Amino acid sequence: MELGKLSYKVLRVGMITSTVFLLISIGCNVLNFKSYSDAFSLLGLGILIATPYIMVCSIIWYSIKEGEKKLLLTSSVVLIVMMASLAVGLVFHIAPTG
Amino acid sequence: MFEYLIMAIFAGFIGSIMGLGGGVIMVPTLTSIFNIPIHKAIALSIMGVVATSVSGSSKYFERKLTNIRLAMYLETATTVGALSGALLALIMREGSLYLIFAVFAFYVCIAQLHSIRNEEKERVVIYKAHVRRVTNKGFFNFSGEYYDEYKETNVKYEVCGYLKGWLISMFAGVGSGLLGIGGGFIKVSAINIFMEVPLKVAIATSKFMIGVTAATSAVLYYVCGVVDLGLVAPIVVGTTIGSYIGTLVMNRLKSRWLALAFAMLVAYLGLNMLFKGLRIIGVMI
Repeated sequence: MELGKLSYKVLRVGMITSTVFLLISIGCNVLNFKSYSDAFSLLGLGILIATPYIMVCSIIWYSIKEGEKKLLLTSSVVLIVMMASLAVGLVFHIAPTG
Repeated sequence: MFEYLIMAIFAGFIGSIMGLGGGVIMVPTLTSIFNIPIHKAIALSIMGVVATSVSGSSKYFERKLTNIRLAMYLETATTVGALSGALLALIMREGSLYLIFAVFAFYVCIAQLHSIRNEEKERVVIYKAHVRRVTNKGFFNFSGEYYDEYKETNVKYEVCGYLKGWLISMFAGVGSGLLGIGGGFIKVSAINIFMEVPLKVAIATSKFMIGVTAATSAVLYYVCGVVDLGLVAPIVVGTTIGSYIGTLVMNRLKSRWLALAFAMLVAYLGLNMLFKGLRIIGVMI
């Protein structure tokens, strides 16, 4: 599969899935199902944030498959920094200062 | 809930027709009208930025305008910048963030007024980028080709100014993580003016990059518990709807007067942020 088509599919699936969950969350909020609303919101948000992560992973997979070393190098660095951001948050759990 | 949805639609719409993300409208509105602490407003805004990028960039893939290889090269800078910016925002005091945002809003206002004056000059720069010949080879060779629907021909382009583009992208990343904005206007100018990539490709590549950059800082804000789950859904859905409507009508609406009105609105929001920041740090009562 072409790289552009692959990225397009990942983005489309991520966007549609997260929007559906976030719309259900709004619906639950309107119907006063607060706990369900938060759960769907969490799910939608998780998928939304994960979409760019999955896309970078798919670019890495493509570059390995096609033997594109330059793309593999740059996309791997990007994924490492993105994972570092997650790790920093999990380890230090910085609370904002007022 | 519905007031947040309407505000997000408005922010996404205005941002889209002006070629910016909704962050420059979203953050001041959330802090000034809804009295949400600035850290939470930035975190909510960055979620909207991820959504508009994910939904908006897919259409450019369909038209094969996005240069993914160039985007990944520049992302090595923007993601580092976004991580640093988000960390800085989390440890920075509220007052300082208000003041930095005010400076940014004034910059956007001045840039908008400047672009109204220099529309003709910018067209010359864009044309120059289109007619460059492909000569660059080597490791940093992200040259590409796209089909120009207006000219009905394939346009080849080469990329130059790699270091400049990389450094400016790093700056855009810091801005995105720190202020909850997409930083698209910085990235587009870096790719178009400094790297001499055609404007259409620069816009498509930047739109794709914004999502990856924003997701880097978004995950940090999320894990640190700054994101208000009750407000995420209306903000994200609203921004997506607003920017979608914006892209549908942008060619019919964009005019000098609209750009001027936007510049004035951003200036007003910037002043609001400035006064709030000065009050918090105790300079103004």
